Amino acid sequence: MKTTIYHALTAVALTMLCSCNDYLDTTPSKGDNEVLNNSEQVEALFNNSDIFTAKAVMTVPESDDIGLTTDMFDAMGYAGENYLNGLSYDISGIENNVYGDPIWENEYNKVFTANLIMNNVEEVTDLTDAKRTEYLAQAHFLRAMAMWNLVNTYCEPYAEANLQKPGLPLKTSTSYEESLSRASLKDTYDFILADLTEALKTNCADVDKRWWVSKPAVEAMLARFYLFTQNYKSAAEYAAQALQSSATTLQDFNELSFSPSPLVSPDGVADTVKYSGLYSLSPNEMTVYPENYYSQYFNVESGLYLIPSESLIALYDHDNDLRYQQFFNRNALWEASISGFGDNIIYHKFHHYLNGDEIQSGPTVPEMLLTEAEVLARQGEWQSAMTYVNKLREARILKGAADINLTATSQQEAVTQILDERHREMPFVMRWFDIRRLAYNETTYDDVTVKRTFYAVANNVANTSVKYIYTLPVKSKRYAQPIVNSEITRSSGQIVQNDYDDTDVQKTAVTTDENQ
Amino acid sequence: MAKKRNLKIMAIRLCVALMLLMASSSVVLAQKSLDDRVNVSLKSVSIKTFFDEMNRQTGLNFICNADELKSLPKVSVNERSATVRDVLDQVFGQMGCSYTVQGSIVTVSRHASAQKSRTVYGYVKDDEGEPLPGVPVKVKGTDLQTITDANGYYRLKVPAGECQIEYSYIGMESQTLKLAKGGSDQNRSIRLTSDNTLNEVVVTGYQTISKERATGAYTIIDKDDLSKRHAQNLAQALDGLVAGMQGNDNGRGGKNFTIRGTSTMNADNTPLVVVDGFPVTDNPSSGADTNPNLNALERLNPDDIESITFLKDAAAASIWGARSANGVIVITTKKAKKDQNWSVEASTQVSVGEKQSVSHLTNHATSAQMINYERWCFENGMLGSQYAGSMSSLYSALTQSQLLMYKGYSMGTITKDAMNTQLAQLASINNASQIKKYMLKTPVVSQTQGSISGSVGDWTTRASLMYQYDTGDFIGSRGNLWNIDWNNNYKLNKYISVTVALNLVNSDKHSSQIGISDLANLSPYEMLLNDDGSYAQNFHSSYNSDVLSQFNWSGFTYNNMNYNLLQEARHRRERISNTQMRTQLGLEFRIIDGLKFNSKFQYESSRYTRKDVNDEESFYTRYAVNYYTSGDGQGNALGASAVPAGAIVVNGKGSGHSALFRNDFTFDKVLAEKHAISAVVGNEISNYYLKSHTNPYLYGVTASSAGTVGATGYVNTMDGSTSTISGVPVTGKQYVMQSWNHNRFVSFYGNVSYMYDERYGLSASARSDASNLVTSKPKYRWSPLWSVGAMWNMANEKWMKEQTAVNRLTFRLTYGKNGNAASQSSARTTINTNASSIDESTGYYPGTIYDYGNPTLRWEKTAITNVGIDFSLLDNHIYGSLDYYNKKSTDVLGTVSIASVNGTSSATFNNAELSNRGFEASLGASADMGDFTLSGTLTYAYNKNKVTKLYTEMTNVSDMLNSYYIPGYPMNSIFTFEYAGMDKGIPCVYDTDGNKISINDFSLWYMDYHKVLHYQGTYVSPHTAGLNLDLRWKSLSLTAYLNGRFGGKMLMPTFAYNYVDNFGGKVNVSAQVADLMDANGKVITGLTDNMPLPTVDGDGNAIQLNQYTAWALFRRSLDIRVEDASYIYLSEIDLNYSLPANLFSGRWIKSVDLYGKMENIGLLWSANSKHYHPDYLPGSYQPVMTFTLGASIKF
Repeated sequence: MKTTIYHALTAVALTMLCSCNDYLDTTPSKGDNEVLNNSEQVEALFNNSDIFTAKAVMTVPESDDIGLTTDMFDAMGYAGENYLNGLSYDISGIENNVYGDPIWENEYNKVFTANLIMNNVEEVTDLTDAKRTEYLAQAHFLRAMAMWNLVNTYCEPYAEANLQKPGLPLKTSTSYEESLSRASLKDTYDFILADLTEALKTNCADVDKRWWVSKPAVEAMLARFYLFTQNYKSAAEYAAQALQSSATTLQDFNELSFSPSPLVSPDGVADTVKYSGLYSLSPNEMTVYPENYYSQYFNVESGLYLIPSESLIALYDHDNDLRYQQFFNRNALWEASISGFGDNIIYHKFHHYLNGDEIQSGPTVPEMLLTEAEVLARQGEWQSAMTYVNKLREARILKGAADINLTATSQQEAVTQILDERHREMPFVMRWFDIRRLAYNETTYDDVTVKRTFYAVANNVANTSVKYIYTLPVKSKRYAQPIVNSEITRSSGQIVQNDYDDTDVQKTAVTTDENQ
Repeated sequence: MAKKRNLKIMAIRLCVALMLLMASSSVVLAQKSLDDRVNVSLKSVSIKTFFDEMNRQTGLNFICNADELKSLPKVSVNERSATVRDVLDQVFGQMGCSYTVQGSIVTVSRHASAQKSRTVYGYVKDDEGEPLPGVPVKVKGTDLQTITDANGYYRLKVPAGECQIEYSYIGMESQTLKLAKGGSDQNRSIRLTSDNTLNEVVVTGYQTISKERATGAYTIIDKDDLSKRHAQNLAQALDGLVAGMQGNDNGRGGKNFTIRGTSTMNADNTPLVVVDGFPVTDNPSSGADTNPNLNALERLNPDDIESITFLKDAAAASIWGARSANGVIVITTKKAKKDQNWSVEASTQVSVGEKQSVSHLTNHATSAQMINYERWCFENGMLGSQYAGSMSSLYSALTQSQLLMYKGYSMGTITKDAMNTQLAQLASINNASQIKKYMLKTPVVSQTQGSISGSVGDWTTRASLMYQYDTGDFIGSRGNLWNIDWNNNYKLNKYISVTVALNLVNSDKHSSQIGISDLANLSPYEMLLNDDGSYAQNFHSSYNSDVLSQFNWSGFTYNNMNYNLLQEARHRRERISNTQMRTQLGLEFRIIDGLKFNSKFQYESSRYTRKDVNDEESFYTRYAVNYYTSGDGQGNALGASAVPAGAIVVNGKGSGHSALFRNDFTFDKVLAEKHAISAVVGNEISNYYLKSHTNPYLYGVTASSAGTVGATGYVNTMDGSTSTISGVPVTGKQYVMQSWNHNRFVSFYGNVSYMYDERYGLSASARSDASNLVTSKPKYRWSPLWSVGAMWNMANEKWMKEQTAVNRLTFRLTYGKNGNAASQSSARTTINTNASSIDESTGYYPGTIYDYGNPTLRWEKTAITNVGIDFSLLDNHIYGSLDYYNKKSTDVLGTVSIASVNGTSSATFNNAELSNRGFEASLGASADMGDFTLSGTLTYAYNKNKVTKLYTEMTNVSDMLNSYYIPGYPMNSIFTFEYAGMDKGIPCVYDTDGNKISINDFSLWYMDYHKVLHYQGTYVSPHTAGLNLDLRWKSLSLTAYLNGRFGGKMLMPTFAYNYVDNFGGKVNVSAQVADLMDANGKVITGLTDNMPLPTVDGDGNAIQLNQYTAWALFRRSLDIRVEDASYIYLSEIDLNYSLPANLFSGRWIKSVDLYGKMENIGLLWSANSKHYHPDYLPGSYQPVMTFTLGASIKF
């Protein structure tokens, strides 16, 4: 009897030891917590708009398009730290922001998702060759888009002289052990180009779901990439290819209606404010907007009102330019409880009913027309360049207006005209990226020096007793936004801060007389 | 508490084994010694001296009648190397005496006396039916005595006259047998029952050892401690009895316990519960797994409990391995005893409590105060944006008085006079009496139970049944609970015994879906019923009642959209039923003496159903049906509703099962008298599975229709927009919500303890666990857990035996590592594809990253050092224990900051560390004064915890104010600003340099927290104490229970500084407005212990609305809000009376007890200025005074 028991027990113990690991490999729970292993999961991740929506925090107020004056600020009583730091090109305030940096976090989160799919795609059980190609192309494209936004925000612009300057940490896996050191700017651009080249292997010949990769979307991004790296020949080729897309078309603004909304000013004056027809689009309608090759939007943080500067307003033909009539909403500042400033204009184009204002960030047909125009003009074909600009203007200027078509008599005039049109078409964030680019390209007549008057800002708070004229000189190192210090600490010093000096932002105190 | 301890069955076995050894060795000694050679040289000594000398040389004991002893002549003997037998024959022969040898006992008697005698013989057994060797059997008043042999058999010559025979044995209750006059021999077998007063036994769940041999820190609660309290559930009965164990209300009448502080951040922090050697499934208390199943303690009937051992340190708990870091509660249930007569017990009790206090529940200002405050807001511009949140929005809820003021002040649709008249009318109303009458109930709980136990041959059985009915204290609430327990043991043969146990619990809880927050949403002037008994109109908390009333409801399914809370409570109900079953099967093989093999199997299953019914009389249903009607947004219907008329019913279900298989060898033996060894080695494998789902909502449920599920996709709604219908599963899914959990564990364990001469003890244990929760990398999967311990029973030293002041003095020392499973983390990145709604940008169900992955996921480990002393002094009149512990938890899963380049700025890694240090004392004393006995036990515990390592950037002021875990500080710390009073009409705080900073200065939030924040202590009191005092007079006893907490901090309730707005929900005004505004509505100025309401700033300008916002933000973060949370609470007084036994002598009834008790009597002392109980501040439920009467009877 005893022997039998011993034998039985030994057998049980041995069996258990051997099969332990199999026994313990059961998934602990389902539904909310599964390892990536099927295509449904991959596609669900791609179908999450978080993967294609981008943040624009500091990049909005940095260009010359924002016109928040000290008077307006007084009336508002308060503005978020990102608004203040962007307006004042503050460095230490951003560095010390203990609340983190949404652009950096959001874009690297996309890089994680892209890497997760690239690393795990072979574990997907229902993988086919077509799916593999598609998932990898999509992942590479997502990563390229994220890295593009990052490199234009935190690094100095692409230029021969800058190539060995700090670029970005190049993450290719989901491991926490991977190096976080910043690669050179050259390596970073090469990394993005390599991703776009991989993305071009997509099977999707024309734009379908606009938040997925497609050949025209990659071509359009390549056109943008080459424009910003001054490879005009390649930019022209890819822009032309992208413009072949039949699924992507220009929206004639003459066909847009208005979306009126009754508003009351803080002083009790009532008015009906005419918002753009685009303003009332649902999130899904924004995603399928026909001008988009890839529907990425920059989400403008709430409280970061797109108050246009006088110079931006002056750029438009107020009577005939439908972009002015549609997007520059008179008296709509009342919504922010601000009034008493001229026409109380605020810029609204797209608007997500939960997230607020949005600015297109993915490549679009107008961008491709303007890119084609600019690169042709810069390569000397400035007359044919104007046809691309005018094709866009047909969809933008009131039908029957006298001067729909722009003309130029010299290369410089053509380029200037095209850049102005580009500015009108893509203000704020693309304008900021363009200011950076134009400072480093082969011409100087297009350089922009940004100047504004605003309060002193320190510790993320405005000091309303001191006013400065802020001047951002051409090629300022402050073109690159600082990385928050907490990120540098958390990387154990692997990430290094950008190099800044006193000349990057010039501050001139405004005298009391001017103050009044 | 240390006084009355249970002698466990296992302990008896141990003693038996021990005595068997001793007895058998004595027999061997005696037989040998009769032929042994001795040298005896005595000259004219008393017989006593001869006995002593022989005893010294041979170990033989001599028994002789005292009278005979005196009459015997002196002894002279001189023998060298003679056998014992020869010596005895010679001496007794000379005296004319005969002698008999039995074991080591030599009984001497005189031939001459030739007294008439007879023989009594038989067995002495314990209450389990096991033979008891070495029991002295004695004729009272004489020296006639013997002891039982190895088989418990005895044989004793006794006088033929009437006599009493006494059987006494350590750890057993003595018994006396009366023998009538007579000459014939008699067979009398005796059963001794264990005596609880002397021996303490530690049940660790895998073995039972006497407390004398336990190196670890334990607290033991036995059935007497429990039965005295007559608690409705076990958690209530245990609260305050165990030093170092804190209980917090779990929201359903029970408690969640923590032992010796919290040693984890993200893993489970509840102690492991072991019932009769099996870890039982507890109810996940948080997260997605929350379900209405009863937790382990709630499933036990307090009356079924034999004893509970709390394992607090590493030596105690490490054997339970990876789930023991939070302590282990080992429960032994009552079992029948072998050869026991059938016994039946029954008891019944009823408890009646007070109604909840309306003002405490709602914490509302009076109607007049509320209106005064709202009016002040209106008059001073402290009004939310008038123009932005349009009054015409359905989703801008208001109070009735605010609506009147909007009409009077802002919109001018009524005159100021009309407004004032109506406001004055509202100010005169108070709805508290109606709430008390219609919404609150007098809670009554009745409980009846019975049990039967007995044995038939080798089969013992005990069955119990408990039924509890609870009326609840809120409208619509009531509950039933059935608890059935059946325990069987069958001794197959000498080697094998089988245990089969079954426990079945069924509970049924009803409630209205209305709760305390709904009550708080009712303004103090809103009546439930009109004078004519019809439902009054109440203002809804989420919808603008004025806008609702302007809809043209005639075109909708329901024409009456009046909202009334009482009607809601009467027509919305929830029923949760659950059934939980536990079966245990145990096999015990006695292989050889001391070595046993145990095989145990446990299967548990649980099932619950949840049913929410919303009648069409409820606003909830009327609104839902009308809402899914296409409308023009102006109050007119354009079509029919997408859902049918009728009730809305939501059903949910959950079920789970678990299996556990445990095999071990145990070895218990005392070798060569002085070496006691106890060891166990075994393996356990378990599997837990739990799933739950919510069915699609059923619309249009009527008497004739079971209802239908809503259509998928978007439908038009009454406000002119589109929406999906609530409770419709996403395409392709069967249920609205579904989840399952599957956990598996495999463990190997071993433990050995060694005791030398009942003086020095050593223990060691080792265990390794693995689970499917943790990574697939074996390096991280297995947990190496172990412990070592040592002890010294100083009182057992020979040199201590002399004195009588110290009855017991034991020093204990243990060190070891326990573990905790990390179920909240995953080694690999995991994806959630179970989104409840589509992504509005893409139109598809989105996937999200659920866990970024913790590649080095492993077990959390807690190393515990414990030093303890147990003592008992002055004839056991004073007793207690002291323990000091140091718990260091490492590899704790903590949410740490990482570089966001990794994809996320925070991740949960095993690299946090926590420490818990503490001291526990338990001190008891008892004194007899005639018929009076006064006894008491004081427990005291001190715990200091600290987050010793957690990589997170805490330079951020708002993190410091809101985080539970802050490196370098105790968990749950309070940080505040130092209030600097008002400056230019704005409250200010000081920085560390003494500068005043306005609370409107946004830079405060960006400052280094060291400059502005001050550590104030913790919400959790470090010192806890419990005291119970017991006064007995004959069979009447009175027991009082007190508990106290000291050294913690609390935030006093403050006014919300809310401005009146029409955004979002309806906002009432809290009672604390009275601190800031007098009865006439005038702002009180000159306050120093409070932020006053804003009047004008330093320049004489009115304070702007956006400035007042900061008042609300800072109100809970100022040092003036912090007070000492210490208190002493009288929680219970019990009165027990046992009817005199002679009332039913000769009848079936053994005893009858009557009892009464009062619970939640109140605070005896509190340190805070308002005399609040810090755990039950205004705006919450509070325990109400409850009276209980009951009786129990034993047959």
